[in-house]
Amino acid sequence: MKCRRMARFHGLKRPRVRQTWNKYNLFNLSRGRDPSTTVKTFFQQKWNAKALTRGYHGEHIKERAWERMFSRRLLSVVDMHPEYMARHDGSEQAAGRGSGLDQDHSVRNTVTVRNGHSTAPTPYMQMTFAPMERRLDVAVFRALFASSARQARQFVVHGAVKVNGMKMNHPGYLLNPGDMFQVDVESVLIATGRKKETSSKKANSSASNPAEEAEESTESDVPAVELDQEVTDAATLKEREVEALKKLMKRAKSVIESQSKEMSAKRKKALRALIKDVNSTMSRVGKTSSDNVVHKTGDVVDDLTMLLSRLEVSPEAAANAEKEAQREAEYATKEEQNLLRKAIENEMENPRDSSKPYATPWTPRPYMSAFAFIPRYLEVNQNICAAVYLRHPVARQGLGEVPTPFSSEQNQLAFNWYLRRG
Amino acid sequence: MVVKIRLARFGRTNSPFYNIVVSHARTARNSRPLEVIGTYDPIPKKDSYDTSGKLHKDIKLDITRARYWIGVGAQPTDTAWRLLSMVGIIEPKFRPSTTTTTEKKA
Amino acid sequence: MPPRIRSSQVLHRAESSLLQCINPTAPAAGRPSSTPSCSPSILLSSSTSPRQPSSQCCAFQRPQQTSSFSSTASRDLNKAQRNFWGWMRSYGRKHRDPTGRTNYLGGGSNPFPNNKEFKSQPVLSEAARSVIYDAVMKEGLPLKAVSAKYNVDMRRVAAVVRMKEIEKKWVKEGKPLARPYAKAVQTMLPYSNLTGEESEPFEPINDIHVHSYTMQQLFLPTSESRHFTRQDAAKAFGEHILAPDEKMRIPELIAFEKDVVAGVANEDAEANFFKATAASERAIADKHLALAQRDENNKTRVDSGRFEFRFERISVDSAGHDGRARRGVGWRYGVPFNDRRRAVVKIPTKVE
Repeated sequence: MKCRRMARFHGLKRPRVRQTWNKYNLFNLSRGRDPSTTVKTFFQQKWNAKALTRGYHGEHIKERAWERMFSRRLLSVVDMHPEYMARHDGSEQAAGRGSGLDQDHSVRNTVTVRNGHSTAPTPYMQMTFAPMERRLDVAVFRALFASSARQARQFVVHGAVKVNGMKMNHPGYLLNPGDMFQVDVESVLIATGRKKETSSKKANSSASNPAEEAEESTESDVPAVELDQEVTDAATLKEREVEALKKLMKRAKSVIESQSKEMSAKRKKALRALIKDVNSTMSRVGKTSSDNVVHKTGDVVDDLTMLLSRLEVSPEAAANAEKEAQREAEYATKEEQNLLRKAIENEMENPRDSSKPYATPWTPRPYMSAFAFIPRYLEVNQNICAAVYLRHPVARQGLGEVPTPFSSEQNQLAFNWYLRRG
Repeated sequence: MVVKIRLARFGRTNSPFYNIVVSHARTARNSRPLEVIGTYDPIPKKDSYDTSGKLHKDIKLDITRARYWIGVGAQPTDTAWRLLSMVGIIEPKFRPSTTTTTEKKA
Repeated sequence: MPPRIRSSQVLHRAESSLLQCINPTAPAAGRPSSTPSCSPSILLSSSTSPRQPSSQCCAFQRPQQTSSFSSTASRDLNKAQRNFWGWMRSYGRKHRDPTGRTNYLGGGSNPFPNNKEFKSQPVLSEAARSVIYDAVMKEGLPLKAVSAKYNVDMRRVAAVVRMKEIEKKWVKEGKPLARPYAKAVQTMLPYSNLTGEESEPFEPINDIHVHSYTMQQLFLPTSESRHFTRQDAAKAFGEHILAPDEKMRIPELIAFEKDVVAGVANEDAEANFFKATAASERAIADKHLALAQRDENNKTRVDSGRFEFRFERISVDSAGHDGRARRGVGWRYGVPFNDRRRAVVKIPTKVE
């Protein structure tokens, strides 16, 4: 039964808007119209509205569970203005009604005009699914840490999410105002990054869809052009690489020997792995034959970035490497050095790393930007992939904070449906 | 009959939780004791945002009552002895390796 | 890594990837422009009229991938799929990659075309976050003052500082940040820099919750001469209903405005405001500290090397005369413990 449901998850015939960043979902969202109500009974209207809205709001949550969560209390706030409150105690609104005194709204009006939304009604009905937004998995999705609510749920279940520093593996955990949730950085990069292309697909891409070819070939073309030039320099490059790698290995060995007592087992292990890697890289550099130089040097660069990241793990080695690098770099010109530094910084930040499960260097997945927004009840720090649930979503004049793709009418019908049960 | 200070296991499978109880030696482990003087949660816990990796165990204990029961001759079991000796109610029985870091000023 | 490993060509490539990383939308060398290549007439027909001649629709047909191992002709696309691919090539294309600003279906700041009441509101930029962090941690301003100064909710100010602290800790520890992700998200969201140049304040900071008792109209007969204030109105709705003045998140702002009305010089009024907010925050902090201190005084920590044993002092009297009181310590005797009953929520309700 589950398979059947999943097959139509982004169906085109019976479209449902979902909480995902899928392109089919974008299409369904773009053509979604309110169903006509002319020939439908009230019950049918409510039924349809419920089905539509629940297809988006927590479709992975059982209906019974949602019915328990539903609340007919719709939260709203009013923006008060200290300028007004300091000047009036409210009595001017009650005074002299009978004698026809005009109310003095001068102060209030100036303030409200500044803040906008002064006359718009409060969209209470858009708050129907507000309790859903309290769930941890939905909040992770809203904070743009996962590409769908289901994926967010998986992150939680698989232990990638922490709440207030403690691992929380219940996707149904209801966040309290002030709770901070953190998602594992790697998981976020996987979820939001472009998919890694397999080598067979890369080969096919030129023959497939012309439109997509244009998009995808850019990634594969650029390195190819540069790599042609690279071949010429490969020989000299090779010598230098081998030399540097040898030094690196010697250094790592000396570090292990000199500090074997103080070092933790973990670091020793890392250094040993480093030596092993350098060895294999050296042998590969040595073996490069003329026909596949292009390929190999690319791999070497990949490996070196990996080595770099590992060097970072052991601070002593990193410090040593920097000193060494400075000494060796004297032959290069200033400009080259600057460029190199920039390039290394970039590589460190967003490295080309074939071991990652997403395409590297990391780029956002397609169609993410059409869905990217962060509601006001969350404050997100993308650098550490953490967010704070500041407060419950509220309605204010002209603005409902619950992100829902449906109109007020649809939400109202759904609200009415659950009123009977809630 | 001998009065013992001992632990009564509650909690669930794989998640033990103990009451520190004073009861007659011959009564069943989980039967109603003379008095519950505290609890012992043997599962090590981590502090939020603590990266040092140091774990802690939570114990609740009415020290005055514990002293009283020792004074009238209650015999702690080995485990209870270990716990009571940590807060200085009795001399440690086996190895006096524990050190009190922050003793509350009475 | 010693730099001499890299030749200038390697450098060149690294540089171009740097460019792409900073601005993922920047066209790389040799990249064709991403505008749709369909003619406008076809474009129009594909979106407006679903009943179109099939010959025209074929223009959008997804090119069939030839499988080397299969000789079966692949099935044609149905109408829905043709519509989808047509839309993907035309309107859908521009939503594929970030454009440097918001890229929503509804245009502008509206990600949901059907919901006019939801807007993607600006979020704090990195610069704004450091401004707030510096104001709180370096200048030592009270949270309320920072909130009033930049028109940012107090809770948001606290959250920004809290997460910035963690970020700094990560940097110190050398833990990698999600920089590429953060940079990419910045190209997709509306941002506010808190420079004061925006036409609107970042967010309202004086919101008060609408109590459900006050959601109905109430007719209260009273004499016309009565001076009927907000406090009276609150009392009329219910005994325990607070007047807006008491519910204000930053009540010191009202005092500040009153100073202004009374003709106090602006600097003095501001100084009073700072003093009042600092005092109120100190009071809250002291209260929390006192509570923490009380808890700590009630505890003895014993380090056994492997674990730290925390002894909390309790009193057996809390169990009540029959030993069954709810506040009693330990597993209760003779009382069913319903933690495994059906329909009891087992998910924790808070994490501390």
